[in-house]
Amino acid sequence: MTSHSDPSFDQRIADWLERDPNAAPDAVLDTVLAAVPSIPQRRRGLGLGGWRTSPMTSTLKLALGAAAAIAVVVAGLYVLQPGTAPGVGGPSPTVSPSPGPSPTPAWQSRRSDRFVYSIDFPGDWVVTAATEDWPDGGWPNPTSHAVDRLGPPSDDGRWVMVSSRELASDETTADVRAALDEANRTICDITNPQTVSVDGHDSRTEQQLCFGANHVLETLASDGVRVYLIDWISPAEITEDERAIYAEMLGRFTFTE
Amino acid sequence: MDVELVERAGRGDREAFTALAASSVDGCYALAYRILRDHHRAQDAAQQALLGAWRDLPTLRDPTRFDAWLHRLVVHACYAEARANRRWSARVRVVAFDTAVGTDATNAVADRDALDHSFRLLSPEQRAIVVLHHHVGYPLTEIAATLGIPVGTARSRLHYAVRQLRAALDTGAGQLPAPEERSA
Repeated sequence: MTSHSDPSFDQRIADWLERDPNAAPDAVLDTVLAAVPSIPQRRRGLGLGGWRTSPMTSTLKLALGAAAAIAVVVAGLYVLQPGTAPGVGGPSPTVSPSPGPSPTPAWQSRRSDRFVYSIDFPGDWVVTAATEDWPDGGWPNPTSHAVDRLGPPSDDGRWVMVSSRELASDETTADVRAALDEANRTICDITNPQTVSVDGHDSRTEQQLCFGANHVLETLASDGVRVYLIDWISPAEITEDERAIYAEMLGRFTFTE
Repeated sequence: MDVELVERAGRGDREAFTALAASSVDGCYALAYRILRDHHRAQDAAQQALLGAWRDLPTLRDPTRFDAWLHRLVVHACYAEARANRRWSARVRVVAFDTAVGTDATNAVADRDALDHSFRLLSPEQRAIVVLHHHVGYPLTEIAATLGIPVGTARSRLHYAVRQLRAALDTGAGQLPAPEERSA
């Protein structure tokens, strides 16, 4: 279908809508504020416990299982050109770059003591280490200091964020998964969920389009002790090459505790 | 929109939410009224959206996108209002207007009335997309994200909604083609 926009008719609609009222009667706000004390806020399911979710359906398990094979194949596809200098950007004391046993010279490896993981990434990427922990009872904002940020030196809005926290004693990975799904439900379109193996643990990677502007590949991984949020974030549609890099980073990601 | 207010409200700070709601209530109502074309139901939808915002704020991952998130809550509250009221399904006969005669002022009023009648023939989903595009000014990608639909579906809905409006105005009658919609 092709849209044939008529500017004059569009303006006519806009002008007509403009004439409608803009101010809400006082009663609207009064009613809301009177009701708020009796309405509990939805729990985030993070560090709060008490949540149990329905088990994954067998259909979803089958779909994710089939997709896992694809992810494994993709993970082996990416071959980088010889790298340049390691990233700059001042890693904090909590994240220690190291040569690492990188399978290709173009990749470097680094370990985060704050978030308890090790990751390999393209050698010319810039790293900005987190200076804050995963926020209590919330989610780490990709632009906050609660995430390790790894990305191309061009700083063009594409980067990978990593953050993690310990699971509460009465909390499971499924609890966090459910809370994350709920958080994403209201702001993102989720497509193409796949099961991937992160350091030997099944995890889910999915593609998201959030607010029509942010393209995200998101993986929630866990070793049963901690949960890890590993996101590729981009202002533009994520390319096949970028997917391959992300898949390779996941394939080399290790829980270091 | 104050990000700090959003974050504080998300942590259960009622004072912050009061300030947030006070700054948002007019926008909620304005959006709801334009979709629902009814003062009372627009008030209900705005209230439901704001109460939903209070309840679900802890799940909002990116506080900088509060406004778009709230728009989504308003639109869904409007859908709920629509489902709760069968009047949506009642077809309103569009009165023919002879725009060839009369003063400019008369014609302007007739034009607005004709648009109003035509707009009421649209589905709630079509109304929402017309309002978000032509009043709020969202591009199709933002509309798609706000409504939780593919961009192709948003484009299709807008196309057919505007086409229906034009058809109703051109014919000046209530006999319109059935709503068409395809997802991309």
